[in-house]
Order: sequence, then C-alpha cells, then structure tokens
Amino acid sequence: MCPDNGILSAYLDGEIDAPWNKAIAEHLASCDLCRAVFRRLEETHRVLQSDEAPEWTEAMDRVRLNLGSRAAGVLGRFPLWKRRLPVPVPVAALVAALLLFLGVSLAFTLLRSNVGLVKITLAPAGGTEIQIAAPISNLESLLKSLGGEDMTHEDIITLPKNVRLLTSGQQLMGTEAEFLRKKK
Amino acid sequence: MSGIDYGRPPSFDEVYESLFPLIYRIALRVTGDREIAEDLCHEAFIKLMERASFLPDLEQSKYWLIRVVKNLSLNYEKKRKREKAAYTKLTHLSVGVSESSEKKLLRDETRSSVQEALDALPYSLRAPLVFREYGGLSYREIGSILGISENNVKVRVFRARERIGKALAEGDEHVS
Amino acid sequence: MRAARKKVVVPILLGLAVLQAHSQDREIDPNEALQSLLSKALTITISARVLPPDALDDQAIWNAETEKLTLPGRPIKVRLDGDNVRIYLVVTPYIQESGEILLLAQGQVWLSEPTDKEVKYSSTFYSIPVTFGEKVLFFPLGVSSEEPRSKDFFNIELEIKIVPYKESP
Repeated sequence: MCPDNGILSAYLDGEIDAPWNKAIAEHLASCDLCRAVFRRLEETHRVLQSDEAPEWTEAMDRVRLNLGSRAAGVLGRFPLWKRRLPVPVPVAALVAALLLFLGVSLAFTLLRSNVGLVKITLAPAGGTEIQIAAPISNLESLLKSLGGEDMTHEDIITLPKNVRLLTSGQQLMGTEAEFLRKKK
Repeated sequence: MSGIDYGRPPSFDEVYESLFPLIYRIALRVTGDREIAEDLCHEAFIKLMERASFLPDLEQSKYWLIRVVKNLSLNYEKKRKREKAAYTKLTHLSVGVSESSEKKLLRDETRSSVQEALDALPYSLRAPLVFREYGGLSYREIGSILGISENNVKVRVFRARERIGKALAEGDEHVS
Repeated sequence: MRAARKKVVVPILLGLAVLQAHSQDREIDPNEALQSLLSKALTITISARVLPPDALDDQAIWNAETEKLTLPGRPIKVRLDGDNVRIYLVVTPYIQESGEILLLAQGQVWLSEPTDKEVKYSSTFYSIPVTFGEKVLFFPLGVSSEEPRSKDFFNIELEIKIVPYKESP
C-alpha cells in the first residue's frame, strides 16, 4: 500500500521518525510508482538547492553600516581600515573609487556622515593616509583599483537555457534612429 | 562559522556575520525583490539588535530572524496584492501601456527560473518551501512561525514542490 | 581617448586644494569631491532581449535589465552567458566639450554553431555620439533582413541608454 505523496515529501525532509522511515525506505525499494514520485521530489529539491545564492556582500555592508551608525555605543567600535599609500592620491580619484566600488548609497553614508567615517590625510612627505571606519568587505580590492582605471566588476547575465542563438550576420551597434531609417 | 566559541552566547557581530547571507537569501527568495529583501534584513537585524541584552545561540537567533522575516514579508505580500489590483485597474482604463513604462515595471535584475517559479506560487505555499529549503527549519518550527499544524506544513511544502517541479519542467521545453 | 579622460579629471583637481609641502599633515574633506563627481555621474541602463526568429511584433520571449552608475571615462562591463554563446560588452562614456556624449564600446562574441564544433569569435569597436536618453541598439549576432533561417533559433538585442545620475528623492 503506497503512502500519501505528501509523506514522501516529508520523508525527503527527514521529518518521518523511526520506525516509519524504515518502512518507507523499504517500500521505495520495491515500488516503482513511489520511487518515481520520490525522484521527482528529490530533483526539485536539488534544483532549489543548486540555485545560485544571491550576491549579498553589498547589502550586508549597507545594512551593517546603517545599524552601526544607529547604535555605535551598543555595538562597540568599528574595525578601522587604515592604509598609508606612499604616493599622493588625488582625493577625487579616491572618492571616485569609493563611489563606483561601494555604490552611491554606501559612499554617501560614508563620506557625508559627520561621525567622520572617512579620513583622508595628505602627509607632507607626499604620501596619503586613508582611514575608513566601517566594516566593509573587500576594501583591499578598492585599494588595488586606485590609480587604475578598472574598478568595475562585470555584470553577468545568464541567458535562458535551451535557447540557441544563431548569427544572422556581423555584430552591429548604432542609435535606434539609424536602425529605423535602414528598415525603411 | 569557524572561530565561534559555542560555549558562550555569540556577540551581535558574530550573529550578523554568520546569519546575514542566509537571512538575505530567504528574504529574497520569498519576496522576489532585492530592495525589499534588503529592507527586510535591515528591519530584522534592528529588531535583533534591540534585544541585544538577550542573545540566544545561533540556531535560536536564526529561527527568530526568520520569524521576523515572515511577518515583514507577509505585510509586503499584502501590499503588493493591493498595488497589483490598482495597476490592473489602471491598464484597463488607459488606451495602451507604452513600451517604456512596461519596461519600468520589469525588475532591473535577471531572474533565475527558480525565482520565477517561486514568484508564481501563492505566499501560503512559497513561504513554507523557502523556510524549509533555504532556512533548514523543521516542520514544527515552520508551523510555529506560520501558525499552522505540522501536517499542514507537510502538505504545503509538498504542493509547493509539485508546482515548482512542473513549472521548471515546462520552462525547459522550447517556449512556443 | 586618454586626452578626453584627462579633460574630466583635471578641472576637478584644480578645484581641490593643491598638494603642497606643508609642515603638517592636512586632512581633506572628501565631501566636496563627492558632490563634484556626482554632478558628472552617469547612469547606464543596458537591457537585453531575446527575440523569436519570426519577430514581427517585436515580442521578446525574455528580457533582463541592468542599471549601473559610472563616471565619464570609466567602463561598464556586461557579460551574457548562453548555451551556445557568450557576449561581452564594454561601454565607456565620454562627455565632450559640446556636452554631447561619445560612447566607446567593444563587443566581443563567442558563438558555437551546431554545424561546426568550432567556436567563432568576433570583436568590434564602436564609437557612437549620442545624447542623454537616446537609445543605442546593439545586435551582437547581427540582424537578418531575410526569412528566418530556422524556426528554432533566436536572436538577441541589447539596448543601451545613458542619463545623468540623479539622486533619488
């Protein structure tokens, strides 16, 4: 006698206690129908699990920063990210790097806060000291990108599966107006 | 989660570092919107912070945070339904929705087929499935959060899986 | 290209305190730099649509959109990965003296057709003057003007649009 399909789903989740789980395991070994149902459930579970975890670092940083500025006393001091660069770095370049690297909202919060979360000091010897008081992941990458032109990460968009694209000719780029003119 | 001494209650930072990614993923899968998910996480951790004097272990913190996410996501869901109803009325009134405004309605992110399949489920099926698959909560915990019986959780998780399985299988075929 | 970039950077530098030898460390307020940069910031929206072979009505079967913040002279990169294709687009906007935008872009396409097992590669550089809000279309796989070759194959179209960055209210 086959168990209810919902039971199989619960079995998959480890929600069936002994001795009934053993009984189900035995039943699955001998029943093609139930095994097929179970396999489908397993596959759905697998697909759900394998779906790429969303990119969370930016969100995490933003929320953390906001939480921190809300209650600096309760949470204690921020870790301090401090770097001394041997060369003078134009403030604009540094700010641009922060802007593009962290995004506008985070850069705003950092740079505009009157708690003094970002400090840029120019040393008389010609170096630059940068202090950022905020728990932001990956500030080392920011440092690497300073001075270089390339600080943007690429966006990767996944095209729908099982859709095969075929080339119809050379790649083309132009204003919409140009293409519409050509059509006529 | 290495480096955490389980002998003492975790600090807020430890809880935040360990649980934010998980909570964010849950919030995103259940609401389908990055901005909303971030807001939800923000609210949830503020609430946790306000209880800083009593911080249970990680497992309990996780359960507690998911419970908050459920309350907030349910409110969001109800709000969305009202807005959707209002928008539908509007499209029937206007002569035609121009392409550019249509585009504005499309969310500016790529949606995986899993997220699309999840979005298609009603909240009552989506939430238990997400809490189970991405939160790893037991049926009893999910039942406690949603205010339903364990058996009801079982049925909903099963139905959600059936529907998702079907939706994903259909998505694999060529779009007609 | 390099000259254009310097034109944007130099005025900012002149506006800031010049680095001189002082006896003490000098702290600089980055807020001014932020404001100045934000006034030049740009939002680039790139949307991608996959079109069926007989796209009479322009009905896409799938679309995606990404919106990125950038500054003149800083590139935006997008990569699209498909079953048999990879498209890599780099777009760098420059603001010319006239106020018009010059879009420099490079499109790279890797495609494997079912007939040959080899992967075809193409790279093209573009230089397109545009105005804010004007739509630029990019067809990484070209546009066919004749009958569709096969029912099963789709095409892809990207649209690029640049507007000045505006703070949300």
